[in-house]
Amino acid sequence: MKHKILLVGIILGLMAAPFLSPQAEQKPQPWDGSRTTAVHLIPLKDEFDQPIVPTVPNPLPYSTRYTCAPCHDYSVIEQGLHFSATAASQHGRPGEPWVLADFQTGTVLPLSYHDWKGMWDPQELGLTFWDFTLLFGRHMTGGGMSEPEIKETSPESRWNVSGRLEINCMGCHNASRMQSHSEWAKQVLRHNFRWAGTAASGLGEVGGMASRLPGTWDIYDGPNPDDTEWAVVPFVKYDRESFDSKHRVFFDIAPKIEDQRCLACHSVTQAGVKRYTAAEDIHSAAGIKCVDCHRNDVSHAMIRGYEGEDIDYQNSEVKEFSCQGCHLGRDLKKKGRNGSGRLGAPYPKHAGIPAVHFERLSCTVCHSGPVPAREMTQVRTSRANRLGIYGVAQWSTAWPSIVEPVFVRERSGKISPHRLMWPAFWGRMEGEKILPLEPSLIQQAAGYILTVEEDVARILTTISLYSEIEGIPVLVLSGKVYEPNVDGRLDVSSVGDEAPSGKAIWAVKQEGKVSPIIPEFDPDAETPDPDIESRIQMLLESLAMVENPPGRPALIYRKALYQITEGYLEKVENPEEPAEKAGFVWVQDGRIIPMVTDFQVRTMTALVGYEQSLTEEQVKEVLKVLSQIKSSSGQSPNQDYFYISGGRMFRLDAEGSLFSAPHPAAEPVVWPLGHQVRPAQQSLGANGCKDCHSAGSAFFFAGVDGVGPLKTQSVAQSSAHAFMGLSKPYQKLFGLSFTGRPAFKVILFAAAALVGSLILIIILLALGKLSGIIEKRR
Amino acid sequence: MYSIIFIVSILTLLLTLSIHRFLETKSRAPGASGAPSSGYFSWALRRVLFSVKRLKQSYQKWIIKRYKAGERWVFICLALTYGYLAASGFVFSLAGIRLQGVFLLLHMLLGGLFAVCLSLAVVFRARFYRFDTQPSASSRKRLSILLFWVFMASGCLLIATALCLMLPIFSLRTQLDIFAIHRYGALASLLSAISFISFSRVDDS
Repeated sequence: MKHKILLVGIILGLMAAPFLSPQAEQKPQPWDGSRTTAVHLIPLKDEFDQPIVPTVPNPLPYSTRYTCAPCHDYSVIEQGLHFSATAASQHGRPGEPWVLADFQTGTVLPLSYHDWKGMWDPQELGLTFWDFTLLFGRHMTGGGMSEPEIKETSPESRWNVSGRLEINCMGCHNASRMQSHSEWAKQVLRHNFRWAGTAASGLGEVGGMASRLPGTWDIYDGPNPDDTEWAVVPFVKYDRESFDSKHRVFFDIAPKIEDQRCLACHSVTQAGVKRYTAAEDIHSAAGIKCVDCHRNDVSHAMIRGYEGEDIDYQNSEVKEFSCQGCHLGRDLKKKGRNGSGRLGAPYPKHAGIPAVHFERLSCTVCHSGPVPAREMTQVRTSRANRLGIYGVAQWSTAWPSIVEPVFVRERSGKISPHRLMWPAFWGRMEGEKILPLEPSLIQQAAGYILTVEEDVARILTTISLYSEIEGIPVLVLSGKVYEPNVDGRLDVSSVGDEAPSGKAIWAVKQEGKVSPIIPEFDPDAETPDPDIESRIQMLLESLAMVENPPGRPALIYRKALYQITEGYLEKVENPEEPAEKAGFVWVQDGRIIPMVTDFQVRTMTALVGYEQSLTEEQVKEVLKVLSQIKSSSGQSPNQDYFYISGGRMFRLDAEGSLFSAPHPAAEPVVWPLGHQVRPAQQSLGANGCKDCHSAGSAFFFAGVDGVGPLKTQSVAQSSAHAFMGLSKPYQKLFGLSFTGRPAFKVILFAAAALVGSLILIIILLALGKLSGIIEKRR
Repeated sequence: MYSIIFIVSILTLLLTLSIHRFLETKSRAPGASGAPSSGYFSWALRRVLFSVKRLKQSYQKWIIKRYKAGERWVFICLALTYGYLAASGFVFSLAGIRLQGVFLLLHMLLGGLFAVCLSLAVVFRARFYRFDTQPSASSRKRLSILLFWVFMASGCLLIATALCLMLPIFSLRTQLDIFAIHRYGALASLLSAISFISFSRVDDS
């Protein structure tokens, strides 16, 4: 009998098991109608679904998957817009790409898992989910590709060490000022994926770096007591004050997500403006929050708010949250007679604007983004330019160069404002097929060709570190001073009144003054100056510390060559031409190699202090190296390497000369912009038709010239009208017609008045006759 | 809706006028040589071919004899601009496409010329179309006077609505209504022009 009871118990237990798991506990919870937000005083769970007790040793970071799970269905949430890029069946209107920007190789490659024009699938580039998370996790929400299943992981990945990057629920929902996006980014870059959410939320302090741990480490291994300095296992120290006696934590959940949370990843600001002068979206200024329009339910299918979204996502309800939905109402045929849209948003009169504008232009053309000018406005975005990560180091980057507003005809046929960037990348062409190459491959192949700035900076830094020289060692070149900076690159400044010279002069900068690193001396003097000699020896000893030197350091001046031999300064005869200025060289097997070559001089002069990172000479040299790889690897002859920048494709011709040509792969990538929305008074057309319709209209004829990391005159040149698919002569003519509009209106008025008056007279005469008034008078 | 109204009204008018003319011609010379003894359709076909053949004569009769040399160009211009305006406006409208591109630009420019010509035409011709001075005029003549003024009134409406659409005064909603008035004004103008030509041509002296 007991056995039977036990058996039944086991069977019932097995049947009930699925329903006891956290995922199965979740049931669809329809909204009960209350507009309040629940107090989130809840126990924390780790990734093994175990409660977290902050007082026990080595507690694990909290897992959103299990902490939030009892009430919120994680499996539903992870299908949401922010988490499902790799799995989305509907891509909708193009959005901002992730931009793989590598300054050294001049790579600016727009990537997206969505099927959007001009954007490359990361998988085509060979980027795994692991690579992608490392590159862009700083501005990702977690979940989706950052939380892959075992079968989705790649062999070289280190998910077992880093853990999965779960959805960072508090990244958006936390109302606490402790929520730190910078902390999230820092933890992601340290490979502390499973700890990132805990650290960012401020619940605890996270230390250690998973990136320094061996690839064999696993969370079950726990901390390493033998290493408390370098390869420290990530740990979390919870703020115990945050826990109550039942080990519950209060999550300060915002009833409506704060704009600051959205702006961590969605900020867009004009480049180079001061913070207090930056434009603000009129809706935000009026107190409307991002989530007032960009709404979602537990599915996290965010409303994107563009025209046509209802068709793309087959959800008619979202129509109400577009510009038209709010300002015109649902029933457009009523033309505002039903009041207006949501919350009585102002119904626009659009006085004097012909109806054709509303058929062919989206609302954002006139109301969003900067006012069109002859030059496009350069903007920086959070995700592309790494904004909003604070610390001593400068995180943000100038590249990619994104400009707006470029008016482009969309799939719907309507014109809308877009942001634009020019792709730049190295690649291989197989017949018609274009294959971008990863920056690491190019760095490997190009070697010194692309590391000019770093190599020179390394020499100067080595002198600075290993010699007791006063001030900062610098290189003076063509009237400019090049000094190393904290990023391992060079800064440039003007040397003052000194005449430009093509020769590199080693110097030292102290209190703003630049003087030769070795004071003027006579190498032929019978009695050498001991101070000079000891200085030369000190500098040569420090230069010997340079990483992977091509030879022994030496100093040449006139006919003398100074080098260190067995710890002593030795002066020998300079085998080369006498040097006019004292300069450092490498001596390799009796051969003199300049420490700064002519190639480096040309490259530095051309690039340091400029936005660009490559010269045509560098591109040519790298393409030569790549073509040698091609010939040595025996690749098929129809393969060709190229570099794309500024809207043109650069290749080598049969003679080995660099040439450029347009190519579809070099065309700019565009995506629509929705914000910043300007007030009606500042919209296009508020000052009349000539805001757009004039012979020199910036709207139609602003220049859109290619920009890229390559310093070249060979860039694509286009005009705004081309992106709209409009004819330039016609738009010029049409714009010109507005010059005569006032006179035209006067003519029409006079004609209507004349004809109308005569009709009135005739009617009056007829009435006069009918009534007998005219007859009587006669 | 507009297309249907347009097609129905134009066809009805053309049919009515031609049948009226057919019956009138038939009753005027029932036994004469060359008189239409056959049916309506063959008569209509012959009339069309006849009109095309005698285009030059019609021009002589209508323009050269009717108007002074100084006034002639006004009416030629009026006819040509009106022809383009009607063709461009109605073709695009019937095709369900918004008037655009060079056609729109020409429509606007020629619209201005049309306004000027119409003003001059009404100045030159108004005295011939007074209701009060022709008490003994035939009903046909009276009808053609009425049609002349309907044409002028609809032309005036077209000019006024075009002007209104250019002024930064009216809201989009009002503009759409004005645009509808413009289109129906154009239809009224075309109907009156056809009728006027049909009636005034017979009694033209």
